Amino acid sequence: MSRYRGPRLKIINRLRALPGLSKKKPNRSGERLVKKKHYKPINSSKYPVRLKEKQRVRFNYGLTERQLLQYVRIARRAKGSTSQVLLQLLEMRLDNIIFRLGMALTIPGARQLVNHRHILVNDRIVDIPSYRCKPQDLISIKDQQRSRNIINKNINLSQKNKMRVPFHLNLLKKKSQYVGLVKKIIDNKRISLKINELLVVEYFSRRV
Amino acid sequence: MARSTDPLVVGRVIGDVIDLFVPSVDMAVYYGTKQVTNGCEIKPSLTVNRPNVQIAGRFYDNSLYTLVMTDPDAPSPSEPNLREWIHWLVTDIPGATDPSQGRELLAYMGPRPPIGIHRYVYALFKQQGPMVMVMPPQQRNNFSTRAFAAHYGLGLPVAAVYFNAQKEPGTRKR
Repeated sequence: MSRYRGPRLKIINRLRALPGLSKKKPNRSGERLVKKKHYKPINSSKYPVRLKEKQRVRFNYGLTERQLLQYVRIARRAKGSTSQVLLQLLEMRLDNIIFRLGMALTIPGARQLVNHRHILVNDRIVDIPSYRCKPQDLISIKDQQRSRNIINKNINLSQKNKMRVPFHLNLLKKKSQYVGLVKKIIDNKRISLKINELLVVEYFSRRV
Repeated sequence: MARSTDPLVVGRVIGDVIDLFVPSVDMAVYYGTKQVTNGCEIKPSLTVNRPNVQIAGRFYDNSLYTLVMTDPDAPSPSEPNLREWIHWLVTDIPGATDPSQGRELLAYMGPRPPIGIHRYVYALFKQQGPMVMVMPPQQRNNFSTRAFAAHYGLGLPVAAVYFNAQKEPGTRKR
């Protein structure tokens, strides 16, 4: 699948902080001065609000429009709240779990690790970033010095930045090698991205 | 913390519309041949006409019931500032019968969700006796099932079921 390769700061300035896309912070000083209109639009549409929220999810998790639409369809078919299931599906992606474990500093970085076959799931190489992890999955690093060096460096950096491993995951150190364990499906309160997932479902509600 | 598997809790019906209760009466809701089950998806085109509601019970038992159908997601799930929109209100339904035997305070209005996935909740309450001085709601929006039940001493529901619906895409003419 294709991924976004363009300027990240431009996206972050427009859509507010996206921890998955980049560690950069939106810069308010660099914004162009725009003359504020003093009148209120007659029909203030909710569409731009929904679109913006959808774009935040899409850029944060590094998805294409079609992928996100597919996730919404799966969430619709599942039992329970569509919006909650959607976020759980996105959070259980392999690239996202590697990012949340601190093995990569961003989700695009995690994608590259997976693509370059540095990651093993249950002792098998998985090179698909959208691979859906299940509870009790064991995520380890390929038994190569180069792979270990990359991931150890990333973990040290993320620990220096005081990034916490979420409750649904576990980062263990076995024989000087880091291993991640998926304990359970994430609870929606623990999601790092501050998002109103209902708006995303509403955006897609006429297309599903 | 153990995750609840009750579909009414998972679907946030308990919390948004009603309080936690123990079901004590069997209620079945049918739109044509399709039975409403918790969380199932039903197209608005199938729900234009009032459903067939079957309330279990015994004929010789003088129980009376109140049926409320509301939408807690009006006008949109992300901003439900019209919560709850009442679609149907029937009181004095005898046990082992259906709402046609009761007193319809508010005529049935089929679901017409403007945007997003809306939940439509059927809540059944057991009455203490015949409801004499009942005023039908002046407007359909901002109805509160909890407040209504508290005002008329209905207590907790004895049965509840909900389904999801969303706007159907229009047929494109080429």
